[in-house]
Amino acid sequence: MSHLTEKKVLNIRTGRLTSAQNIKGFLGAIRKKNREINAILYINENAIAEAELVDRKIKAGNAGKLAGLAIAVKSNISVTGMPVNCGSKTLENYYGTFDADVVAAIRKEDGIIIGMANMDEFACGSSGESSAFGATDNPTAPGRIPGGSSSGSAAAVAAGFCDVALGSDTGGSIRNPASHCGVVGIKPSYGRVSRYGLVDLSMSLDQIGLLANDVYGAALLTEVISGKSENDGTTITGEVPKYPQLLNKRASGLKIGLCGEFEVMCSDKRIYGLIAEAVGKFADATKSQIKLVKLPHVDLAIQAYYPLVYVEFFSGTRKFDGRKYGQKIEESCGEEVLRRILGGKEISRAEYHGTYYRKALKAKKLINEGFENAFKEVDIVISPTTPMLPHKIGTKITDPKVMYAYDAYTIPANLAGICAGVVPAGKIDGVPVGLQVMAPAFGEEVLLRVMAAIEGENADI
Amino acid sequence: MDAGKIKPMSTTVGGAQSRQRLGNQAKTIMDEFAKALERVENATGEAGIERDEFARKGKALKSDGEFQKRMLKNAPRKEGGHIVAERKSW
Repeated sequence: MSHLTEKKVLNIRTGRLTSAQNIKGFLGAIRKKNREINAILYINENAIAEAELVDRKIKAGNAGKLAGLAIAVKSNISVTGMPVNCGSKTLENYYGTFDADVVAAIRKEDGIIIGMANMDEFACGSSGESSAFGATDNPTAPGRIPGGSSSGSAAAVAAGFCDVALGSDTGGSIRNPASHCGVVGIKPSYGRVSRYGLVDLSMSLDQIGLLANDVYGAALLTEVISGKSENDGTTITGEVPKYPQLLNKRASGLKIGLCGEFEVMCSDKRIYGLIAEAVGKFADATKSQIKLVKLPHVDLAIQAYYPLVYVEFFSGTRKFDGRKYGQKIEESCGEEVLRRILGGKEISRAEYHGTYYRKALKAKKLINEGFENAFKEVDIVISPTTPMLPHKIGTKITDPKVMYAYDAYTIPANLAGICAGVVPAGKIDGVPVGLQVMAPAFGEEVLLRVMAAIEGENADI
Repeated sequence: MDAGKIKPMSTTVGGAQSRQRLGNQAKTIMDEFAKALERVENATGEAGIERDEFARKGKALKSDGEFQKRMLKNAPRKEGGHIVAERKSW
């Protein structure tokens, strides 16, 4: 396990590094490199003053769990007084009127919001190229896409602009960029983290999650943002486990599930080879057993996902009518957003009742049942994160389905409502490749422990 | 660095022709996906949401006096304490 964030937390708490110094360091890096990377759209001008207040709390001995850490926030999560533009011209002048539940939780634990991160427009993308504020570059593989839609959040972590970052994941929008940028990403279970304050893409699938440099940082932020909220009726009651402490309990004797279908779906076989090698290494080190599992209909994940997203996105965007929040969306958005709105409008019509959305719901249910059955036999399921390496920025992709294919491995977890995370597994041609771990709903403890063990095995990459 | 200063690039889709093209493309994709999903048609009953909780306990949210002020600041057209909405414009 990497101890980067754990050491940072300790250094701040013991005064070897002040919160203000930590924030100043990141602000310096942003000023130096953000022009090229374009990960951060807005800097919190009060960040240093807020850090100085935290330093006083540390001296007084009453600082929170995130004391002095810098957190970047994806631009579709509401922060009071900061632009929540969703990477779109539609909301270019919209400023948050309240703190999302996750932001309030971070502030309560003395984390510092360092700024707002770039993203694919309204989270409708997998490459980080569709923001109205320009594409984000991949700091780990310059010239290539960082992945999306939480492109700025992943790039900000990878570039050293923050300690951790918030993102949102509807079909892979945290895990896909985590893999491409070589960082850790977590999509918590549906209902684990409140979505109050998130500008929705598809409310039955959306989940706020995070990106970090290491599994410890991911565990720490997961603990802080998890829990029941009166503002989000999908959140579940019950005590949130202390995830960072549980990482010390080493994963061993597990049953690891691999699915044959995942190998077929991998268009770049080198990726599957690298993942299989990492799984073997992990199984040997933890005396775990590898088992083949069946996940029926998982190959239909993309086909089930997009009708749900088109319809729910169309419905969700009706509020952007130009009255309350800025411009009318159809008159100010980019291609992919408009495609989804027009498609959603078309298939929402009464005469199509049952043809698209209901069929997709059936497939969703079957995929969910497949995972429930698989988790009776294994503790976790492992897969690649994306079937191909990130393309070069600006590559012309005319068929939207080619872009949709990036999320073939990540969408199933959203459809099933389970938790999933990505941890770096190695590199191919100098480009990072992430390994995806999927665990049962509300099984974040086992998810994080497995990710920590894999991180430990790959400490040299 | 303030997003108010960073101006978005011109990504807006212009023209009825482009809209038509995107609409057709979306419909083609959805038809293709619906065809692929035919294989699950008879595989399961109706999908539904199952929940154990039907009532929520807890305190009602308190209103925030500053909220209206912040909300109105975002509205392009307003009059007094109200957002101006034009009939038939949507």
